[in-house]
Amino acid sequence: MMHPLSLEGTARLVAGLLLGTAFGFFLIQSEMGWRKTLLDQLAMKNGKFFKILFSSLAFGAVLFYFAKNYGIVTIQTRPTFFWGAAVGGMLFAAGIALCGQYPAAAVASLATGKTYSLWTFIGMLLALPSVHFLSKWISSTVHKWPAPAFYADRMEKMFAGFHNIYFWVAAFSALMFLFFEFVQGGGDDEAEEKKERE
Amino acid sequence: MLNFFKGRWSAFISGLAAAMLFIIIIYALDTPAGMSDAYLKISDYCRESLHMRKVSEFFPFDWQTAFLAGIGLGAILASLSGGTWRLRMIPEDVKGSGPVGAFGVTILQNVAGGFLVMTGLQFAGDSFLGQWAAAMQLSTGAWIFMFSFIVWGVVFSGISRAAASGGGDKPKKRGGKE
Repeated sequence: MMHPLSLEGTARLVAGLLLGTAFGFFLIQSEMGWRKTLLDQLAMKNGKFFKILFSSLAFGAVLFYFAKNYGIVTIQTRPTFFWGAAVGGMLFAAGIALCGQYPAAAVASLATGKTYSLWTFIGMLLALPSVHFLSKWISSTVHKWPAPAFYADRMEKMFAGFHNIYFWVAAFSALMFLFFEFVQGGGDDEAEEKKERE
Repeated sequence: MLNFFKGRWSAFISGLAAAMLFIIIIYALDTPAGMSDAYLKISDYCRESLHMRKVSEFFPFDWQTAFLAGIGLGAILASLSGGTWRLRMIPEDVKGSGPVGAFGVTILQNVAGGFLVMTGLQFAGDSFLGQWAAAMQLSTGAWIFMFSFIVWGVVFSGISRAAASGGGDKPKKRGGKE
């Protein structure tokens, strides 16, 4: 049985930097770090953002299943609350509709010369003290609101009747990928750009 | 091979790359992949510096802030190799007139948007990358967050475009690329 590496000290710091570099590279090459990709996705003009999201979930669920079974990884998630996730998703979406960037994308975009991302970054940093201030209120309200009866923290518990929920989730994600592939397409910008140049 | 580093990646390749990156992060660090703590630390650092009226000497440099710095570094490398590095102060789709102008609209939209994005993530309990990685690990809350984001994102985007085009008129075509 294998175990997670669990790097510590300087090795952890260097690993953080290298993995962050790989992720930054990924955000630009995949176009997930661009404001236009996300805004076009939400406007239903180009399905690339959701296609990447769901294909990664399809691959990720299967990879994680095997990695967990071989002991390479352990489940590493933060505790979530039904209403916290639902309301949080709504507020997040409202913000995205305005600025078209999430935290990692704002950093990547700023690094590629899009200086307007600095304002998004400032807005994000301003939110943290106010949320700190409100955290007691959030803990005693939104996080305490009763979740629906069917809700459980883990999908394995919630869908206990399914034989192997990891594969079902992967299949569902692959279906969502195909849905956005056939309904919205996306990712043909490079071809369009070439045409324009010609 | 060079095209892999210079050209754009397809959704399929990008999805595989993201999945592998998240698995490697969890394997190497054995901790949730999100970086909301990094933002909290930077925010505290800024607050402390403002309070003391000088730049605090002790920058909170740990794996999470290193990860954030790495994202910037990787983005620079990718944009330089792909030729997409471009200095831009105002997004091409932002139009503005009057005393505020496009620059003012950019500031207002981005500060308000960033504020809402981070508030939403704090309600949900982790950063977007953290929610993404948790969804791969079948956390129900992360899936609820994702679906809430997708549904409300489309709704708010429609409202925002309707408002920008003058309340219900045909939305203006977003011009150019980033």
